[in-house]
Amino acid sequence: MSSTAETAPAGPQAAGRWDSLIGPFVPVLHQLTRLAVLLFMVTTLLFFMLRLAGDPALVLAGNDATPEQLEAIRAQYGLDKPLIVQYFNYMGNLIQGDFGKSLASGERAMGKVLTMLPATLLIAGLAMAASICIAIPLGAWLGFKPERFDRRGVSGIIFVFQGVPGFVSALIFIQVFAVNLRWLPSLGMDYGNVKTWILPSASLAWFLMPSLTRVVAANTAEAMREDYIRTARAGGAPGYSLLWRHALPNALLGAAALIGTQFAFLVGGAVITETIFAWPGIGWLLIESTQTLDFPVVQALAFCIAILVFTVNAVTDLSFQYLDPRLRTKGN
Amino acid sequence: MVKPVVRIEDLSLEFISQAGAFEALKGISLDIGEGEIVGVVGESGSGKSVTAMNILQLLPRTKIRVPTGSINVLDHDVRAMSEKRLQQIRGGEVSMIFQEPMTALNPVLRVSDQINDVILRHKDVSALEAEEISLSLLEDTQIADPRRVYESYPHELSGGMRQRVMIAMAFSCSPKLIVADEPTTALDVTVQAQILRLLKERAEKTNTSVLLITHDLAVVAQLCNRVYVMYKGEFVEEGTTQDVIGNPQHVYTKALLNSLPEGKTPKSRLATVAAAMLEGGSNDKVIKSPVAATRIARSGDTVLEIKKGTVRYPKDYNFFGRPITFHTAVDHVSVDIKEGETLALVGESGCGKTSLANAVVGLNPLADGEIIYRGKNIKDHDPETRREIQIVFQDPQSSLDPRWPVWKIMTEPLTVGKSLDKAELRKRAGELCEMVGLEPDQIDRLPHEFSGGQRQRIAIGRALSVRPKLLVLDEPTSALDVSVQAQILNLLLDLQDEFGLTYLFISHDVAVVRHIADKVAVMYQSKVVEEGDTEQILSAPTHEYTRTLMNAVPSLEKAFAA
Amino acid sequence: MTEVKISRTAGLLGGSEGRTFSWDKIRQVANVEIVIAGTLFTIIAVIAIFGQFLQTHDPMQGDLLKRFTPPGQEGYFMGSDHLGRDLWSRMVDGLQWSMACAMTANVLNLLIGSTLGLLAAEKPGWLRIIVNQFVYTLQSFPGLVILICVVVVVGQGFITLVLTLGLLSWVVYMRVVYAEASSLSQREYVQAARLAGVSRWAIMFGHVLPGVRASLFVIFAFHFAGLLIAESALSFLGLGAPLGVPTWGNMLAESRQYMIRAPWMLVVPAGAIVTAVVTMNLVGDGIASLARKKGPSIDA
Repeated sequence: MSSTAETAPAGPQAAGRWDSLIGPFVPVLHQLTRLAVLLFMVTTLLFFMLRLAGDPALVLAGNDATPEQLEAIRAQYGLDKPLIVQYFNYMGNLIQGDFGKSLASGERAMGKVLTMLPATLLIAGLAMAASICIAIPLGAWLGFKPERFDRRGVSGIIFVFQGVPGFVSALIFIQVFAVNLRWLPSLGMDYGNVKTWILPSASLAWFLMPSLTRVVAANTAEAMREDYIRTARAGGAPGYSLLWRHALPNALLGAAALIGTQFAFLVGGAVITETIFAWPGIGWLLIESTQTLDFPVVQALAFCIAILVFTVNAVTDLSFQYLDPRLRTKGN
Repeated sequence: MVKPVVRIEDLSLEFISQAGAFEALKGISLDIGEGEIVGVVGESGSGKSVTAMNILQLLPRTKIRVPTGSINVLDHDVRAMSEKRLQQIRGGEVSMIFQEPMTALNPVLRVSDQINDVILRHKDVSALEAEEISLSLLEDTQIADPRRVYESYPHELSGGMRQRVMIAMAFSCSPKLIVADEPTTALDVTVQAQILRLLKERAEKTNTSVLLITHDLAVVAQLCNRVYVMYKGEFVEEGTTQDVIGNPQHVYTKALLNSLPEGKTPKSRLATVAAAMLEGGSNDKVIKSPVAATRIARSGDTVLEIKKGTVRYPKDYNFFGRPITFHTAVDHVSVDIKEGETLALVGESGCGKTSLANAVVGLNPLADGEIIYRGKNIKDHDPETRREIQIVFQDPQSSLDPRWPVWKIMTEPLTVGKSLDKAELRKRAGELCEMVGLEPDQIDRLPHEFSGGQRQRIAIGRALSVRPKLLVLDEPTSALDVSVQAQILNLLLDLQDEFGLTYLFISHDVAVVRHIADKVAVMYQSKVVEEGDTEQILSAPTHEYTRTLMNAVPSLEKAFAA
Repeated sequence: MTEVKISRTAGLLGGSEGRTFSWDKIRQVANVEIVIAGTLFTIIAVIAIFGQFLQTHDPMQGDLLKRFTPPGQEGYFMGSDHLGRDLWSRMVDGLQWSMACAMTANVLNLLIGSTLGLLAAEKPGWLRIIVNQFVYTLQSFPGLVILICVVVVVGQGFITLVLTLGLLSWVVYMRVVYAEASSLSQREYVQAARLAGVSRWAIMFGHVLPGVRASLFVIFAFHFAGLLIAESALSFLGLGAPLGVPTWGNMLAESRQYMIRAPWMLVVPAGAIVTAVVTMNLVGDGIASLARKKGPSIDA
């Protein structure tokens, strides 16, 4: 293409110094704007929704509280003010990094969330790692010659696995490995005891592994039909080189996007998994605090989850942009 | 005769699918001697690529059946070889060059890796030696800066550059034979000329045989010693290039040569293969028009005038999504067309000719300048008058809604603002079919039931439905085979004759332009560099670029003159 | 390139692809997966519609004397639970609940998502920005977490569950419709229609909507499976169906305390969920492969 790039004629939208200065960072700024809007929307919606749900004072005071006691509690937590005033107070504090105190325990809400976070990160990390370690070789193997009889069989099994919801597989794991075989504990966590990690992580991996495998397989199969594979074959490349050197790197670049977006799904899965295994992470905390209408904690949780998902997405995006030579040069 | 490098004997091949077997090759025999450059010429679907792929056994073995025949490479039957032995042959004794320069190289591997892989696989050399060999190979392909190309990723190189890399790769292990499958089809003419010359020089220098697969007789004439003409899975004619092209024997070869616009009287009707082979002959009847009343005398008035037309595309955006830099696709271009005339815009890919065409029909806004239609800025015309300008796109596959029957496609423009009943529309569709040389009883079929040429007829019929005065034809024959191209060119000339249509004809093909256009404007890097009467411009070009272009165009005459 | 040409030619030789119905054509496109999907789907549909006539017991009435009956004994085809209620009959009730819930929510999703997708593709500008941000939000925030928060607020019950799922999980439709409609409106045949003066609406209903139809069917099936999972997960957590209503999620939750004594209490609802989800996934795959096989006529 004969590209004659030039700046637009002078005018209100002409490229100013400002534009050229921030030019390279525009994508990053866009991401950050999106994050800001996301956080704003999540906090605002949650605030009004949770306030509509019920009166936390009732929960705090217990069923047999007198009206006076209720009033006192409301005054103590600022629940007696008009909703809109409460909202602005809340947002004001939020900007200063104050998420308020847990209604249930009086701890700082964000502090409570952050102490629970490592447990979730542990199983989420393990699940992610396990899924990737299984899905990539398995998907590559399936996608290399998808029409073969054995691959079709395994594909069928993966397909059924994909249809088993994560919480069902968790229950099946418990039934088999904890109840019948008695190999692993069914409940609770202990940082020192790796055995307690296995079932929750495996159940969580179930949310990601089958779909990731299928995507890697499909992408590999597609890459194997590309022209450059034909070129490589015509150059005498043997089968393994076609797959591992030529097809798979291309296939994985496509699957990377999925890993990022599936992390949100994984966090959703953590809620169920942690509840089933009584695993004290943020998912378990979410169920706990929504049921007791512990608003500050729910708000802090949502905030934390949004940032977590955003970070993982951004990191996968950036790292794969770096790995893809086509995107790498575009960025420069 | 010299000892053959490749000998194919009585080879038949069938593709097996759920729909049944399809016979792609019907007992073909071919041999290529040492140092010979042999062409296989044929149209799409004739089986020429299958032949090429089969020499290296690159077709999926589960999907084909080979009832008869043998393929001997250096006296060994490749069909009996193990996969391991084949891998030694591939890239070693026989290598290939493919058509698609954009996709044939792996996007995530550097050029260095891709060439070195082949060398290390076939030669007993160290990585360092391989690098040296690769660099000298790249140098041999006349790349100015081999080191930079060596370290590049494919997407950083132009199409021509990538094809040079493919050539370097193909020659890397001093093969006995190179199979080149349409190596220059996707390239611009000027680049094509360079690549072909390079291929020929390298082959002669290293005494390598070349099997060139192409649809382009002029390319064959320029390059090959011998040629095989392929038609429906058979070689219908074989001989030295001089004999086959100068004195064709088979009726298909004759028809194919006659269908080329090159060397024919401009605006004369071209012979077509279909008529010659007595198949689907109805496709080429002379139109008999039911709407002759609309015939317009050529007044010689200027219909369309583009004054300093400029088209820009936004390139970079600022934070708020406002474009801050632009790419200028059309740069202050001024041309005009008189009624009943054909103006051709000639140029290579990316020169801005399609952007200009889109601007004329209103698909692109002009950033600067104006388009005057019938003495008034086109923007000031009412929609009804603006419909007098219609467009026919390059690819008839994507320009027809795959879900609509032909009658609905053709009459869609008629439904605007009017409520015509279905019977009326179908009647009109039938008339349009006759105008463009389709059977009126085909109007209930879907686009995919038609061939490429027929689809282009449908697209032309749709454009004609609103009785346009000006047709913008954006490479209307580039996606078609030569013989089909002849049919469409005939149709366009007939229609112009019948209705006094004015054409703005966009093309990269100088032979076609010479055949159909009264005037020509040569576009280069967003500007019109030369403009005037077709014959004058094309036979005595004054601008540097036009001269380069004219020299680069492969032509039968030139090949024989040399 | 070669391969494309070949398959196109082979397709042409395989007889003219008219639009008439014929068993030959069915046989041509049908494969094992499609046959299995069709069979399972029919069975599920029959149970969903005629469930009342297929139940052997009252799903709510238990016989405490026959608690924990293993499958196949004493007339309990799938065994009985901790209150002596027939698991088969409860499973049938659960199927009807799940199907009704997923179907209604799915239709709501389809309507909201595809309307917004079409509008955003057709009318670029502020609407697109808002919708995109909305999609981004719903995408980068775990769906289940949103659902849990909402369900806690609106409370349990069929209507609230359906509305929550229906109003909150349409992003997938919106995203696909938006992407496909945007690409379709760049197609040359749409440009040709625009040049001929065809109105926006006529283009949308004539070219764009039929173009995305196949994808909508495919998403409908896959999303149906997703909604089945979401619904049973919420019920399992005690947030969806009211306690005591025989749904698969509730049955699973009840089974947890009797894993040693009566594993079939887990197996029956788990099997039901997996079968239903796999069936819907198979149906989605089947529709997708049919759409592909129709070849050039869809998604050229």
